[in-house]
Amino acid sequence: MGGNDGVRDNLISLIAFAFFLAVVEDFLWRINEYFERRSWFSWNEYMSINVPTKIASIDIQKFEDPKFNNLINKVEQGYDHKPTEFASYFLWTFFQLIQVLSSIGILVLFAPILLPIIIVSLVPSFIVQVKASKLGWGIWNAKGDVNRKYGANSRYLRNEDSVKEIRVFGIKNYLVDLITNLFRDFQKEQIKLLNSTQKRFLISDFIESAARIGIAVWMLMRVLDRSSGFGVGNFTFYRSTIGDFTSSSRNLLRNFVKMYDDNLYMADLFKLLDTKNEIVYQADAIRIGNKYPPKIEFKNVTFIYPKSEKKVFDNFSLTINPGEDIALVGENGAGKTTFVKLLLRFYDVTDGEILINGTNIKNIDLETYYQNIGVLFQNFNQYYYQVEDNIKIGNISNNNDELMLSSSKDAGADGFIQDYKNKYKQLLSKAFKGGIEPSGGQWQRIALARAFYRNANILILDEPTSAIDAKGEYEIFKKISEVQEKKTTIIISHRFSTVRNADKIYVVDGGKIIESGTHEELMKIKNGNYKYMFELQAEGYR
Amino acid sequence: MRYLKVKQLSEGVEMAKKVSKNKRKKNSLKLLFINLKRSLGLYWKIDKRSFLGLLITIISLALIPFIYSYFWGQALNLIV
Repeated sequence: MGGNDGVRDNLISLIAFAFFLAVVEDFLWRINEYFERRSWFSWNEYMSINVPTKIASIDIQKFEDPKFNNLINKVEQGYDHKPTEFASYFLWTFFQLIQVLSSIGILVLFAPILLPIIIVSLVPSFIVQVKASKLGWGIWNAKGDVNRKYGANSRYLRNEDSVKEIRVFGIKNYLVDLITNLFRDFQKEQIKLLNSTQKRFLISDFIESAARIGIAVWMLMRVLDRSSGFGVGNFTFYRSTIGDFTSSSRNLLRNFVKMYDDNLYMADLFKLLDTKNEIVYQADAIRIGNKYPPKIEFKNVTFIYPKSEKKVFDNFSLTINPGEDIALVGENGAGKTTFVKLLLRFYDVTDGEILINGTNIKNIDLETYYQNIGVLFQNFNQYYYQVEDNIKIGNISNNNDELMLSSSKDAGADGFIQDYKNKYKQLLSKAFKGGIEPSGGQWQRIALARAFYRNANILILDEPTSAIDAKGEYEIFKKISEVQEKKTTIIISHRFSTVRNADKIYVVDGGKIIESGTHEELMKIKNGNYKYMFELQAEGYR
Repeated sequence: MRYLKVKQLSEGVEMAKKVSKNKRKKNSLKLLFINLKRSLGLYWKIDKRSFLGLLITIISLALIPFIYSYFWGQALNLIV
């Protein structure tokens, strides 16, 4: 009786301990899940904020490098999940490594001879897995181009603007056929690989199972041999240890392979995060005040775009005095927009210098310099905000309703904004509830109002009225000369009618100034380029 | 539509082998360890609490099954 009581007590203690362990295990899984999800949030937040912030701080010139653009595209495709995945794979690889090492330790103590048998039985399945992953990865890479083509073509079918043309041209079925072919091409090899891999896995699984059954039979024989001291409990313990070893080894390899594949993405991500700007801002840069417009001088400027040999500017000189209204005109590719890029120091000149109030732009504090500048780019931003915020974002440090209204009126935007249901509180985007989509011309006027709202000493307008009708254009330029009195205005245009009121017009061709003067002066030049182009364009309106 | 027809599969397989070989060269173990070290450093910087929490729970969870099955084995030995 005493012996049975002892067994019962031991049994109760063991069951209680096992129960306690089960509870602890469940609890730990919950905590683990909590931390895993929490870390997903943390990684996601870090990357979702830091990657766009990094991209926004990179030299503008880098964006014109196709290689760098490709890098950005690649990083953008996965920065919200790939880094977390990579770190997570590592932690689970670590988990499996502990399990593998623990199982090896137990098996070495129990029956060292079994360990090589188990390891050898796992080799075929490892080989199949590594080969499948290698080939799968290779297909993915080789077919990356096909995948991108699929993406681009399917976007045509999903995008509102392209759908209109597709419908009118009747090319929907053509595009559907195309994406079907592309998609199938991408998948066909993967299916082929899946078929062959699964067949190989059947063989490797058979070898593995045979070894496991053999070991189990050997252990059972020992259980039946009472003299071996090997009980049923030992049988279950070692059997589950062998099971843990095989599954952990498989998962260890699988996670390692996944981590290895994500590694290339991580290399790209770190490459982007490590990108250093070529335009260096000096710590002791000269700050520029914003009381008066600065004097701007281009002195013998020569400029060649990176990775190009063509001179956009060749010994180019131009002076813009404070408060002067100047215009740069010329045909496409004459260098007008490059002039703006250099003036804003998006690029450094190849030779010569740009002086702001007599100081080389390289020694100027860009933050204070930009405070002097209001700009309307050809490809201006269309913020999906309310009209009011779309204008006020031109100067976020100044919340001035009166200025916003006058800027809007000067840009000729107030009229159509008053027709909006919510006036200046109208949301501008059909993508959001209650939002509307302004026309191209309306967007341009709103962007112009934003440039006016900045109330800066230098106003740069690059093709400011390209989407606006002739009457609107005339009114806007009349307003510009009123608003910009005592301030500098730089207008870039290929439409000669937009610049006739400028104090000085520069005709640019092949990176050189070929003519300059007022409209009247330029019109007097016999066989002059400006005169010819102006009359040619005016002819179109007659 | 012929000009838009995608490349044939046989070409794709060859290309896959070639690209796979080249990319694998680039994706060396050394690079993996460099990126791993940096990622873990970043993990630590971004969320120390989750990193430590995961590490501790992972170590514990990896060992529990062995302890668990050992004690159940002992219980079975006592019964049979």
